[in-house]
Amino acid sequence: MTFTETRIDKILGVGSGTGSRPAAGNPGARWIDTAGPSETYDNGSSWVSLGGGGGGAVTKLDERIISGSVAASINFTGISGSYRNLVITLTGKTDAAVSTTSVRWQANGDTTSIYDLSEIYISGASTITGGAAAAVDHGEIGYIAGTSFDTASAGGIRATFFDYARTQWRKSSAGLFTCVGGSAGTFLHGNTAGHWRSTAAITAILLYPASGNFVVGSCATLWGEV
Amino acid sequence: MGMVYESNLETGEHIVREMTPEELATHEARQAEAIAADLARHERLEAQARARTDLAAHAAANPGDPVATLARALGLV
Repeated sequence: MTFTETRIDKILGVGSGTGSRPAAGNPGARWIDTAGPSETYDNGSSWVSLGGGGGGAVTKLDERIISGSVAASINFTGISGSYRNLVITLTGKTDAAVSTTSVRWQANGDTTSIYDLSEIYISGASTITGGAAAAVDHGEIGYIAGTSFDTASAGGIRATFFDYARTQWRKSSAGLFTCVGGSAGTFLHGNTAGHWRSTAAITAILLYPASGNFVVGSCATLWGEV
Repeated sequence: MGMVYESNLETGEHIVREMTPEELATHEARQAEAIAADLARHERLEAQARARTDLAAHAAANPGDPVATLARALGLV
């Protein structure tokens, strides 16, 4: 059985298999495959799986957990353009003897100084501070702890790369982070923003600590958000 | 020396390799810069904390002082 209907300007289709599924190009449309069963979503250029078991708009694309020895960087390449946003979550720590260090990103292997960044954070009970840099060779997703003040705690970061696959605009990221060690006995929490002055679709993201290496146990996960 | 973790999502390859000489040079050059920035940030934070402590002490010792009044109004003490 195949039918379509207009529902809040979105076309819902149902069929057995994908043979009768219309070509992608109607963003927001859903196709339910009764043979699977599975559900796919039209992102405007292709059909993307929404996952099973109640559906999910976020797909785990890859994960790297550092083991054996420390890592200078983690590079996700060959990233599909099938999603609207990319999300990176990272739990990690640097082996450098610093209080904290930022985690930087570069897209598509571009090491030229066409990135911008800004950050605002609170350290301790009442001190809010921040900073910004323009035309640098990296963006920033957040901060992780170093080894100066705390050896048992890491940092946690969640960063979104918006509309990373379309070539309409330049690319930007926004991150939320938390970690110990702004100074002895304090706790750091803040937001970061990154900007890449390129309209190219992001197909690779390199992550690295500004200082030192990711310690063993650090974990970086890449998610695709429909 | 830190390793380089590479994931190719197209092929599913997960690689762990040593840094190339160029990557190692870049990595080491970043260290001095990052540590200097870290120190500068701490000095800034410590200076801000000292200023607050001084202001709180001043306001406690001189509660009727205009500076103390302003500091209280701004929630700084």
